Amino acid sequence: MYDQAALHVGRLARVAARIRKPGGGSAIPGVVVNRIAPGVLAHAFSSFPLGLQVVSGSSGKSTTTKMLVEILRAHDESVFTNPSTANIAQGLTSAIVEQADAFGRLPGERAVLEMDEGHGAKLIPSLSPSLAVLLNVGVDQVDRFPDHELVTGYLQTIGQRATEHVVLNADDAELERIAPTMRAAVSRFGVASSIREAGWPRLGLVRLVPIAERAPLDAEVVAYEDRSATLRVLEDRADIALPAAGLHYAVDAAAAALAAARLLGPAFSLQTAAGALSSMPPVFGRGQRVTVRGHEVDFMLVQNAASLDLNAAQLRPGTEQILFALGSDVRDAAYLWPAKLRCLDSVTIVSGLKAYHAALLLAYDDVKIGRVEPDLHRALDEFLALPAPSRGVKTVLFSADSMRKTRQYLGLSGPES
Amino acid sequence: MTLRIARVGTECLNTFGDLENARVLAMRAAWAGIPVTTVQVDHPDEWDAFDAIVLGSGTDGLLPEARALLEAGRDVLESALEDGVPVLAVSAGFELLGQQITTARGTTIPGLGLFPYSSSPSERVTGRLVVEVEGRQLVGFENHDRRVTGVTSPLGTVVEGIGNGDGHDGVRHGGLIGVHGHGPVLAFNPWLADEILGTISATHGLAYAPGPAHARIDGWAVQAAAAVH
Repeated sequence: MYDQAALHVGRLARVAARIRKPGGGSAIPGVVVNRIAPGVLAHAFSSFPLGLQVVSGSSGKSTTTKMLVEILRAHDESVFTNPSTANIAQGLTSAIVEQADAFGRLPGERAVLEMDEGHGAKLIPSLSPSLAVLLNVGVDQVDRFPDHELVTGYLQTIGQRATEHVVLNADDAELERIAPTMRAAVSRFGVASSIREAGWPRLGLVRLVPIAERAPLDAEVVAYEDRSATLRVLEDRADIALPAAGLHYAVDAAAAALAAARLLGPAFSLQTAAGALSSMPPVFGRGQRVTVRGHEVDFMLVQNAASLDLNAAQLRPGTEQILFALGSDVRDAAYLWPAKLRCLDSVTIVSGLKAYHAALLLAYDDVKIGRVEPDLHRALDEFLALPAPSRGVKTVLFSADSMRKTRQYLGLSGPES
Repeated sequence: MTLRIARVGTECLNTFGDLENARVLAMRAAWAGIPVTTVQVDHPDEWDAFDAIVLGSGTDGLLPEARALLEAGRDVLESALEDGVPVLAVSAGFELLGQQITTARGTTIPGLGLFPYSSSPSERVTGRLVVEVEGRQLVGFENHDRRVTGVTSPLGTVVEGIGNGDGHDGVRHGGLIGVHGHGPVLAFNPWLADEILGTISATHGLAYAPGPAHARIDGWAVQAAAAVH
């Protein structure tokens, strides 16, 4: 009853906050609730009949969580999950406040949560997940995670809380290093040797397990091209369509499918999973084509050197009109510099809060720059007002902060990134 | 006569993008009509004579590997330092040339012993670092959890930030320029890139002169450096 009262207070606080600032009611009531009843979160997530499962890693958490949720829902389960932005304790508590019924109960037979590496490791001691997916230890946000060993430590903390299954990336040497310390049974996913050998050597990971030393895979990406892939999960194979072009999406799909297979046991059908994966809506900013102000525009999100590399490499050569925007996501954008951007040839407008840094990044990789316009709104207006390119499609490459601002400014709705 | 700039440690010394300083040098040289190529040094047998060397920085777990790579290049580094060849070394890169590094976890890694300084653990500092170097400002983003003691010839005095921890940052000795600032630091501070390029061009009887391409990008560098926080 104490927790119920706490939730009621939280809901009132959210209403109050919304009156003050339209749409701004997310994180505030979480703080309120947690001050009153710190155990709210732990209690809420211990009462799902089919338990709690978590997904973490340097990149791909959001996509993999959504994929796992969709696969489970396609198997007729009702799943509670957190929106991508709510991956810290306060955000999670707010998500609870919004969805709890009058008696403080949450909908869903199970909860599948995306967990930020750092915040998740702090939160996880009070939670008891039955399964944890550990995706990768990559180079990401080096000002928050300057030492990848810290990230490995966080993922180890999260993984060790899992009581029945840990699903981890067998190509990732950091994750293999901590695999023996897991309490629960370890299942592995990875990329088929043939694909690794064919020119996808780095996979965005800090350290790779050499192919010859890799442990046997329970699931793997057997084939990949552009926006389709073939997965093997345990004994079955299936072709799937990906929500966006990129090998990392196929790897995320393999991870999600393997996790679902462990959770559902004999009830798992790879065909059903494949259907769910293939009909996932493209997530905004992941190579999704949108019509804006009468023009077709491709939007691509950039989060680290690996994704920047992949996105740049995927652009058709000679793409005429590119807007590149770098925002306030990270204080130190230096870690983007190892990406190879020469293939971009030229960028029409460089924008965002870090426009000048982005201009340096591009220029020093021999990319011609049309103009630097730090004001993102002005840059978007100018870019969209240009006549349609004679070849290709207008393309926007942006970091998460610039993406959010772009979506807001252009009034674009759709699934959150 | 193509000038050769080494970028040392793709796997273990480029966590913070510091090897891309070599790219900054190469592009500025290309815009000035001076042929420059960058050469990756990732294995002991890839050490060679170079016109300039860039040592980057990496995470603690990678230090033993980085140290081994530098040890394999000991002769090259010693000759370079004797001959005044520019060696730009960022953070762990210059720390590894000293006596030893003790990490936050308490692991001690011996340095190459080329210099008397050592580094030991301290509170992590991240943020804007401004160092005054011979009347000019060097701006970078520092991100480290060690302090360096025993530097007899620092690069400059700290105006903003922590640097080595005693009011100075880095080390300067002959051609060695040791700094804590990431960025890559030469991208934010083209004056230093030009100083290095001037030196190595002159060694080969070439004149390095920045032009309009440099001016445009240097305007951006000023703005980008001002925004480091």
